Amino acid sequence: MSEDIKHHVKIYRNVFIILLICTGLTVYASTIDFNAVTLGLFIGLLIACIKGYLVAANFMHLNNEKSFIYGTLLLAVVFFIVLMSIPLSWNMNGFDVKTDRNNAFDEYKVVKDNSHEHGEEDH
Amino acid sequence: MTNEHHSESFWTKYIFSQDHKVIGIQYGITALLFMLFGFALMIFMRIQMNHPGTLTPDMYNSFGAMHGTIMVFLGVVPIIVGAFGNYFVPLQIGAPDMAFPKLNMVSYWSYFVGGVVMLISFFLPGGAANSGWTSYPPLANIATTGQTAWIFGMVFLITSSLLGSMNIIVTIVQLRVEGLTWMRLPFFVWAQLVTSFLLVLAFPPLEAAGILQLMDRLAGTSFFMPSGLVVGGEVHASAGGGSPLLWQHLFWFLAHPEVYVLILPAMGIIAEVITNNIRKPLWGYSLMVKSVIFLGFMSFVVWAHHMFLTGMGQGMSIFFAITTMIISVPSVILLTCFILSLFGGSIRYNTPMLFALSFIPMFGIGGLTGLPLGLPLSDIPLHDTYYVIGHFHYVVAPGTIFAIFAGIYYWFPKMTGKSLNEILGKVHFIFSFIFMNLFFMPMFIQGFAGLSRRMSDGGVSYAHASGVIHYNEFMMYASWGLAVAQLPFILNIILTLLKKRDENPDPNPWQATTLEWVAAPSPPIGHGNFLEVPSAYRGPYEYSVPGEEDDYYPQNKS
Amino acid sequence: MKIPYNEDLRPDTGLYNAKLGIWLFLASEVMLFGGLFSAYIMLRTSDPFWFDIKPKLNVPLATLNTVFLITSSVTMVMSWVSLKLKDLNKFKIYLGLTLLCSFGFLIVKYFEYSAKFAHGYIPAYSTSFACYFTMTGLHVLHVIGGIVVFLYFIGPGIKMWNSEPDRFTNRIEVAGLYWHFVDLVWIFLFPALYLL
Repeated sequence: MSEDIKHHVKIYRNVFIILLICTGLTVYASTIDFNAVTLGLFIGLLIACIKGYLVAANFMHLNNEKSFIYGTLLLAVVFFIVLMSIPLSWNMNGFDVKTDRNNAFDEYKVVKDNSHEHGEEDH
Repeated sequence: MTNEHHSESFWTKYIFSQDHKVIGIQYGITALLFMLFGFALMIFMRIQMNHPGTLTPDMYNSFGAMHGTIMVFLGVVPIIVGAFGNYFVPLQIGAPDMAFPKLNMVSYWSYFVGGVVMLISFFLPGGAANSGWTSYPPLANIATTGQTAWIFGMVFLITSSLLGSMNIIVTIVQLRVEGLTWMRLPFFVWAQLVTSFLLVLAFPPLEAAGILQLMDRLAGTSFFMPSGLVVGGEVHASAGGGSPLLWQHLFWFLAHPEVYVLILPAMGIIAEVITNNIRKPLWGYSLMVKSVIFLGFMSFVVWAHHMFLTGMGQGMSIFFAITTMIISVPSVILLTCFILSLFGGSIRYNTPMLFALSFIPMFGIGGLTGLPLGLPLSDIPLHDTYYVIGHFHYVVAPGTIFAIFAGIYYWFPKMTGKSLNEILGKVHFIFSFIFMNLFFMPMFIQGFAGLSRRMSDGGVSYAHASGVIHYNEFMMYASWGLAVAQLPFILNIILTLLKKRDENPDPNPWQATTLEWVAAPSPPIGHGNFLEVPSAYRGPYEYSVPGEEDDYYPQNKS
Repeated sequence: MKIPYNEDLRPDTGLYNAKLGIWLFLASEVMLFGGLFSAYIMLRTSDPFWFDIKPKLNVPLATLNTVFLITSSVTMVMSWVSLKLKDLNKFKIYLGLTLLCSFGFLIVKYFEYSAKFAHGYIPAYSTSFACYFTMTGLHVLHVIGGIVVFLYFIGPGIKMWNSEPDRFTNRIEVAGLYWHFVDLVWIFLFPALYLL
C-alpha cells in the first residue's frame, strides 16, 4: 500500500512539473504572431486541454475510477460542447477576431457620450 | 435493526427535518399552496380580460409572468420531484433515506426562501417581475425592481433543484437494495433518474444567464443590451455590444429540458398507477426505459425551436426542426406503451386510474398540437399566439397536474395510513376533466385566428381577433368551473386527515408489487423505513403471474 | 439509522456516496462556467466594437496566479496522500500550504482588480471588461468557498480524524476534487481571457 502511494507521489511530482512547463509554453505561444488567428487559438486551447486532462486524470484520480464516473463526466462534456455550439453557430463565417478595434470603440464612445448628458438609469 | 433513540425536538422532527418523508410532505404542502396562488393569479387575469380595469396593464403583466414562474418553478417541479421524488424514490428502492439527508433539508429550505423572495417581489415598488416567465432582455434589463428580486429568487430555486437532483441520482445509483438491478427498477424511479440528470446539467446555464442579467441590472454592464438601444426617447447608457439573443439561447437551453422535467416524473406516476390497475405487467417496459433515456438526451438539442422567429437563419432552424421531430418519437413510444398495456388488462376504475387514463388522451392532444410548432413554417403564424398557450397547458394541466392528482390519490394511504374518499375523488375527477377541456380547447381556435398572447385586454383591440374574442368570456366561466371543481379535492384531504386512523391499516390497499408498499403504512420518521431491509427477487410489475395465488407477486417476496 | 456506502465502496460502482455527489456537482459547475464561456465567445465574435482588453491585462501577474493554483492543487492532493499514510502533521503542513497559495491568489487578484478600477476600467466600461470581471469574479467566489472549507478542515473539522479517520480522509478527497476543479477552470480562463 505504501509503495503504491509512493508511486503515486512520484506521478504527482512529474505532473506538477509538466503543468508548469505547459503554463510557460502557453504564455510563450501567445507572444508568437501566428499567420492565422485560428491557429493561435487552437494551440492555446490544445495546451489548456492537455493541462486539464493531466489535472483530471491524476490529481482527481480519474485514471483509477471505474467507468461510472467517466460516464457522468462524459455526459457533462458532451453537453458542454452542445452549449458551445450556441456561439459557434452564431458566427457561421468563422472566427474573425480583429485586434485593432480599440480606436473604433473609442470613436463610438465619443459619439455616444455627446448624444446625451445623463448616465443614470433607475434599475 | 437497532433504533438509536436520540431525543428530537419538535423543530428537528417536523420543521428542520432530515427525514425524506417529512421533507417530501413539506415540499408537497408548500407546492400545493403555491399552485393555488398561481391559479388565483390566472383567475384574476381572466377576469381582467373580460372586465377591463380589474387590473392595470402592468399588474396584468406581473400576474402573467408570476403565474408562469410560480406554476413551473414553485408548483409543479417541487411537487413531482421534491415531493413525490423525495418521498417515494428511497421507498421504491428499499433505502432507509436519501443519500444526503442534510443536503435534502437544505434543498427544501432553499426552495422555501426562493418562494418567499418571489412572493415579496409583489410588494416592491413597481410590483413583481413583469417581463414574462421568460424574462427576455432588453425589457427585463430595464424593468422595475421586481425583476431583480425574480433573479435572486431564481438563484435560490436553482440551488434547491441542483442539490435535490444530485441527491436523487446518488440515492438511486448507490442505495438500491440487493437484487434491485437496473432493469428491475420501477419506471417511476427511471423517470426520476433521467429527470435529475436533466436538472443537474441544464439548470446551470440559466444560473449563468441570471448572473449576467444581474450584472446588467445592477452593475450597468451590457451583456444583453445591443449598441444604440433607444429607451424612452434616449439612447440607453451602457457600453452596448451585447445581444438579447444570448439570453434567449441560455434561457431555452434550460427551459426546454425543463419542460421534460415537467412531464417525465408525471409519466412515471402514470406508469405506476396504470400497471397497478390493469393487474398485468406494463407493456414494453424495456422499450420505455430506453425511450426515456433517449428522450432525456435529445431534450438538450432541441431548444432553439422556441426561437424560430428570431432570424437565426435557415441552417439553425433546419437543424432544430429535425431534432424536434426526432424527439417526438420516444414520446409517442411512451404513450403507445401505456395504451397497449391496457389491452387484455383487468381494469379497475378507481380515482387514481381515472386520472391516469385521462392523462393519455390529454397528453396526446398536448403532444400532437406541438408538432406544428416544431416545424418552422407552421410555427410562423402560430408562434406567440394562444395556440402555444393551449399546447403547453394541455401537456402540463390536464397532463402533469392530472398525474399529480393520480399520485396523491394513489399514494395517500402510504403517506398517512388512510385512503381518500372515492366518491369525492370521482366528482373531483369528472368536473376537473370537463372544465380543463372547456377552458383550454378554445385557445387553439383563438391561436389559429392569430390572437396574440400576453395582452391585457384579451386582444379586443385587434380586428383579426373579432371572430374569436367571444371565447374569452366562455373561458373565464370555465376557469371558475375549474376552480370550483377543486373544492371536493380540498374537502377530501381535510376530512380524510381529520378522520381517525384504523387500528391496523392495510399497508398495501392497492395490492401493488413495488417496494414502497412493503414499508409500514405511513413509515416512521427518522428510524428507517423498513422493519427488515427488503431484497428484490423479480421485476417491478409481476401481476397475474400464472401459478401464483394472488394476482400480484411483490418484488420482495422470496 | 445508517445510510449505506457512506464510507465503504459499493462494489458495482466502486464509489462511496460523497464521491459520486461531488462529481455530479462538478458536472453542474462545468455547465455553469460553460454558460459563461459560451456567452463570452458569442459576444466576442458578434460584437463589431469589441474592445480588446488584452493589452490592459497583467499577464505576468496572471501567470503567477496560475502557478499559485497549480501548486495548491499539488499540495492538496499531497495532503490527502498524507492522511492515507496516517500522517496528521504532514496533512496539516500540506493543507496549510494549499491555504497559503490560495491566499496568494486572492492577494494578486486584489491588486489586479484595484489597478483596473483605478484606471476607470469597471464592468460597465465595455462588454469585454464585463466578461472579464464576471468570469474571474465568479471564479474568485469559488476560490473563497474553497478557502472556507479548508479553514474548517484545518480548524474545528480536524477533530473527526480522531473519531472517524476514514470518513475524514474521504472528506478531504472530496474537497480536493472540488479544488482541482477550481484549478481547472482557471487553466481555461487564463488563456481565454489573457492570452488568446
